[in-house]
Amino acid sequence: MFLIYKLRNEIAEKAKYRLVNHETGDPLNVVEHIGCHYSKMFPRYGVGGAEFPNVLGGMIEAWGGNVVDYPERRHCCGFGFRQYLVQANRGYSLSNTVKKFSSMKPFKPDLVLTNCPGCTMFMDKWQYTMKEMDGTVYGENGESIPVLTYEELAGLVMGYNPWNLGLQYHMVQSEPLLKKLGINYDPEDKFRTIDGRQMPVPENLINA
Amino acid sequence: MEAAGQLARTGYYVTLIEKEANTGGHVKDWYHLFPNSRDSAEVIEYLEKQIEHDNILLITGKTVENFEKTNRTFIVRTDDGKERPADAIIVATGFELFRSERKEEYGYGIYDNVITSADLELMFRKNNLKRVNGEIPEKIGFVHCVGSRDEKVGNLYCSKLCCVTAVKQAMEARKHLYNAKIFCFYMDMRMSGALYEELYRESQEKYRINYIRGKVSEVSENINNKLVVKVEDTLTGRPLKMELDMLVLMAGMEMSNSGLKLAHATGLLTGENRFFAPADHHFGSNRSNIEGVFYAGTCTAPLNVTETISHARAAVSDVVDYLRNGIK
Repeated sequence: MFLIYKLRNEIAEKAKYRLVNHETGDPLNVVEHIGCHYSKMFPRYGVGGAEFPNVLGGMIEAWGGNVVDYPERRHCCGFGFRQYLVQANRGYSLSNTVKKFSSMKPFKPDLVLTNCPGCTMFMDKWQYTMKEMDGTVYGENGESIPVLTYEELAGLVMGYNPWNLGLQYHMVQSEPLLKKLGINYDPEDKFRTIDGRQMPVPENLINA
Repeated sequence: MEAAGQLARTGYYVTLIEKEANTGGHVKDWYHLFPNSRDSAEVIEYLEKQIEHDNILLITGKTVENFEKTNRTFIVRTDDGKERPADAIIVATGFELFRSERKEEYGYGIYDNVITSADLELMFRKNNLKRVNGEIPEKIGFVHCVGSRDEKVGNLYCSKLCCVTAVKQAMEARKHLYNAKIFCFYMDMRMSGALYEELYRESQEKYRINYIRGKVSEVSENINNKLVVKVEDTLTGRPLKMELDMLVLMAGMEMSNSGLKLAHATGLLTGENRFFAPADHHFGSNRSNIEGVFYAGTCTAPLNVTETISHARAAVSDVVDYLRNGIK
């Protein structure tokens, strides 16, 4: 992660897209969510310290986006190790994700950027769960908020094909984000292998 | 200033070197002083009168770089390259307020309506207790122990005056804002001075100040530009989250940078709390490890105005003893 952070300005120079709405020219509102391993356990070694870690924020700013500062910015993604892994605690896990997303919702985030595989999975898949449970979505226009890792976002701004990056394998689909960024994509290719075979299309994808 | 005045009246010649353009230190920035709401200007006026004496040479805007001792005479060097002789030295380099930005979780310097106790004093003085957008605050919080009793910032000691300052400022805020809700978030209420405890009681009974025992863990701002404060109420054993219009950080006291530099340059010893270490905690709080060098005031520890003036007078008595009777 530090490598991408360190190269953020070089990536920005080579970028094909910036984190701005290509129609309005406004910077996209990006929520950065830092995994607790990075900043809370080893604050001295992280970029920006424990309270305002800037490793993801630095990438967002370098690539033209606006970092959203919302009240539950430091709150857990909801995974919280045993809270999810012990099945009896899953309600607690989910309630924390609800708290976090409710807090960021008024700031109208266009994207959530993460550095931890657990957070990525949770913030992505729990949005499906929350939508299924009570119909709540946390993005604008009835959409959910795409959740990307920093590698995926770096690839996206550099012009990689979103389907080669694997964005279609998230629960929350990235099309609303791709449209805002002005990235052209072929919906037909979404679930095709590189040699052109059609793969099964998953059901219940959101934002699709 | 107190020590200079007393020494001059005893018959000694005093050179008073002040690093700022004006004397008066922090007190000139304060509004009313606890415990009796005296205007700090009265204290400054008193101190200025103390140094109106022919035996006193006041030099402002100069910093002492170091001093050197030969036999029983000191040469004091200032940052303008001048050297001045002295038979004895009183170090009165005072304190600095803890830089509240260092407690990032409280958001000072990040959120507009997070201010420090020093900022609030200025607001009182200008009669302008308002949010940055000009609104009258309806809910105000005070955070005690900002930079004090805090291992994370390297200050294990208690600054001891922030508690009563918070009580005083909360009462003062009530005088400005009759209907506001006012909360103090504290670890322990340390009412260690005369009339402090009475003030604390009065603040609750007559001024409706609400005290919550718990340390604030995090401050943030919501979409409506209100501060969101997370704190644990340790008396009810519950976490609390509340929206506030303004948050005041009770900045602690730290050894001044100029004091630290002087310590490095001269070999004066400092303690674990980085303040100058007195030669003896019980009998020599004004004496240093160098004979002929004495301390006065908050360069040795957090002290209030009353204690600082007493400490300065005590320094005078040690200096006179040293000059007349030599080393014992």
